[in-house]
Amino acid sequence: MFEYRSLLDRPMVDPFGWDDVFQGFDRLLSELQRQSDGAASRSEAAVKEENDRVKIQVEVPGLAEKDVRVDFQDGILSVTAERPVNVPEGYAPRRRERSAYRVSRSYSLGDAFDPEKTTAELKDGVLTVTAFKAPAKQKKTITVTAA
Amino acid sequence: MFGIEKAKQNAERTQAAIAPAIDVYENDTELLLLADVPGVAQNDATVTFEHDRLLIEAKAKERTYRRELVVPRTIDGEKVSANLRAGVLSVRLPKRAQYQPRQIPVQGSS
Repeated sequence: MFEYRSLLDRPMVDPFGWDDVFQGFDRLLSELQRQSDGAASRSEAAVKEENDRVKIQVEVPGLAEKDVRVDFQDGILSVTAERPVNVPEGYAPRRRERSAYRVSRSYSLGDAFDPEKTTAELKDGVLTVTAFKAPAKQKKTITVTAA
Repeated sequence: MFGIEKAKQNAERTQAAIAPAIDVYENDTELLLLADVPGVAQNDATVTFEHDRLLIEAKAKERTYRRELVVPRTIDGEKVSANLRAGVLSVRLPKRAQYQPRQIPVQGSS
């Protein structure tokens, strides 16, 4: 009676077309690999100054309000945020381009801005901090009088 | 021209797009794609599935994200769904029933 000695001795057949099926997934992964050179996974920031305010925008995709911290002390505005690496529960990772990141940015605004009026808003994965300038210090001219 | 070809042509006419970073996860029943697209509101993201291609397009205020992927034929295109939250686009790609594991009960003969 004929017996296979091991799995490797079995003839190579593909009765159900599995090779073809998995080729599709390999193609997805290899295409992602090829494209990933240009793929962006970074946190960008922009500063815009308007008349009475300065707007700082920091990209923090995937974060909730509690994951972002904004401090304003001694004229320094600082933004810190962290995204850990989390595999969704019940899934196995097949390819990962989105990286964990830590944002830590400081902006020296000086004393022209009012910390009390500074606002921070998180929307669509972008944090917008708006700092308002304090009322301009009025220039005062002292009249010189004769003694 | 229809579907993806048309969407691609429209996109090329606008501005150079950024390829968003994508994660691919898998379980027994589906593939899950996650893409970082900060600054994109729900109405400004489109996911188009055609034949074996998936096109992701998303518009933020000052930039456009775009990426096209080949999807394995194990995926049931009718059941693809997408969701955008906090600047992260998630696309669920359920596997066709015949590619999902199914336990076969083993019966005795007594």
